[in-house]
Amino acid sequence: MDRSIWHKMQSIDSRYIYAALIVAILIPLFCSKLVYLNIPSKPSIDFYKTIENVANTEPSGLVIVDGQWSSSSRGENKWQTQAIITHLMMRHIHFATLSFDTQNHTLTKEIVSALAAKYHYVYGVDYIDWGYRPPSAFQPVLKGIDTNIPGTLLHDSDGTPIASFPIMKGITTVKDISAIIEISPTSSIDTWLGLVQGVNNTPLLYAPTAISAPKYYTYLDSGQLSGMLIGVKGAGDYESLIHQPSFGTRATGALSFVYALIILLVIVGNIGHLKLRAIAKSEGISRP
Amino acid sequence: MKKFFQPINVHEHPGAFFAHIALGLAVMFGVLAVLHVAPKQYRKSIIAVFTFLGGLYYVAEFFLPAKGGSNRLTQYNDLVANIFTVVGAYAIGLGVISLLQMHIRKVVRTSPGWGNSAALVISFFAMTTFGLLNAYAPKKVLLHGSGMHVTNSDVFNFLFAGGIGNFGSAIFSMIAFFIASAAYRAFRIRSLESSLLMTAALIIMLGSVGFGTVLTNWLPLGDNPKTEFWANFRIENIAQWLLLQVNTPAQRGILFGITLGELAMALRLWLSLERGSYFDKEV
Repeated sequence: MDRSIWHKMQSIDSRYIYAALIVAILIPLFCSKLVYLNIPSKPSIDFYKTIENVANTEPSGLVIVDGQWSSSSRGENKWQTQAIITHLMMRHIHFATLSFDTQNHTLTKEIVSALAAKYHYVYGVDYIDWGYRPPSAFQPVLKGIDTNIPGTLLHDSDGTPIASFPIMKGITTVKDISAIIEISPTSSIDTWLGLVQGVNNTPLLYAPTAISAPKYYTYLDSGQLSGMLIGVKGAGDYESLIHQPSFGTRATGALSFVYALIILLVIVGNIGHLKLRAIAKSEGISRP
Repeated sequence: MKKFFQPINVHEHPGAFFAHIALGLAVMFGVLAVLHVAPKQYRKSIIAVFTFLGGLYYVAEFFLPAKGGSNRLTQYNDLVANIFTVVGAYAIGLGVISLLQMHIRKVVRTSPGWGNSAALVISFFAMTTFGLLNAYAPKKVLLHGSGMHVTNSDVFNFLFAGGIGNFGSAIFSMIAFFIASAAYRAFRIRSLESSLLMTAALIIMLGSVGFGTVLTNWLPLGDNPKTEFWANFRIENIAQWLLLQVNTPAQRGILFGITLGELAMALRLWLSLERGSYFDKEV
């Protein structure tokens, strides 16, 4: 009987795990009255401080927001984008959006349009949509941004020459850019680092999915990245830093529940494993 | 030359737009014809020369001394970028043709899994059709009457936001279930290495979320020099230490290895030294 229990603890049916996971995700998402403790991580705080620094030192500067995410990683990158754009608009920082993903242009445009109405942002004056460029043009466009932004990008998403907008006055090279924000589940930040960031040491900020973040601590450590928002936890951090709680905050709560569940499962599995090993040892069997 | 390769707005200059497409297609078929009629021993050499020249521009532009951030070649960046975009677009065309050939054949022969292939072909043509209609006639009414008013744009948005968008999110979100199940089965105290891996993973998880930080929230935050030492034992600070002091050197080592590999691979491709599938077969 005992042996059976320890075996069961080691091999819980996946369907029960999935069911528990659904409950752990849904409770925090739909119980808006639950309050979660969330301490923003250092990379998130650094991200926030960099934007604050731009607002304080270069209020008329331009920030590039490059999106390379699609609906696949929407659960993380959408809320990062929303929190970042909200902060830019709250501090009245001018920005330009750019997309190298077919879906991203539409998805980012939806977020920016909704927030522009709320914060009274005027197109062409406070923000501009540099539009979609095919992924094959990623490296050439980045090289062009170094030396000739209007000549490289030419038109906005509606086909109007970008040089004709007031926001682009005095913006010709990367030296006129206050900061670059990359929101992407891919390794595109490597290209920004290699081709653009080093030209003028422009502050580079990164919002990856949680799974791809550990690789980029290297660049945080070297100072090439000025801050990083890691997955949906990063979105939740940012919402709490700008005092605008939204889905990211609730999703961070869900993440908390899910991690608690995984840790509980790991503990249960290991209790079963260790107990069986002890039983096997006492019975003189080499492996349970 | 520079102007010729610049993007053209189809709404402003439709004639020039379609003339450029026709010319591009003519050049592509011309190049293919030349390759086809060229003696076999020269085909590889022709491709190798163009590959070398394509890579040479960026190598030379990067390594030649620059004054004020640019050198003699920098002015041609836009031109070369536009040429690469055009060439890249043809590669997409080849990919589409190859994909459709394979899946249409599967449907026609009713091979195992032909239903999936049919779904792919139908989805492909539906998105292509309504994508083009959305670009060139978005407000044209498709269905009208009995309270309905459906335009090309509505159908495209239904397919794009309602279809691709939600399917993509749903498939990606399934990873959460596999990760939870895999973590439960993989993190076992079997050896010293697996125990270290499990401990590190649990600390990172705990340090990333509120649930974990609550456990050590009774420790000081580190804002007072007298209690600063004890802040090191907060779970989120231990997690940060692991990520920065343990993870980073390992990642850096991996990065060096990958980059050297990429450099070697790039040189092999650039100089047409690569061997294996698609490279040493007769063309």
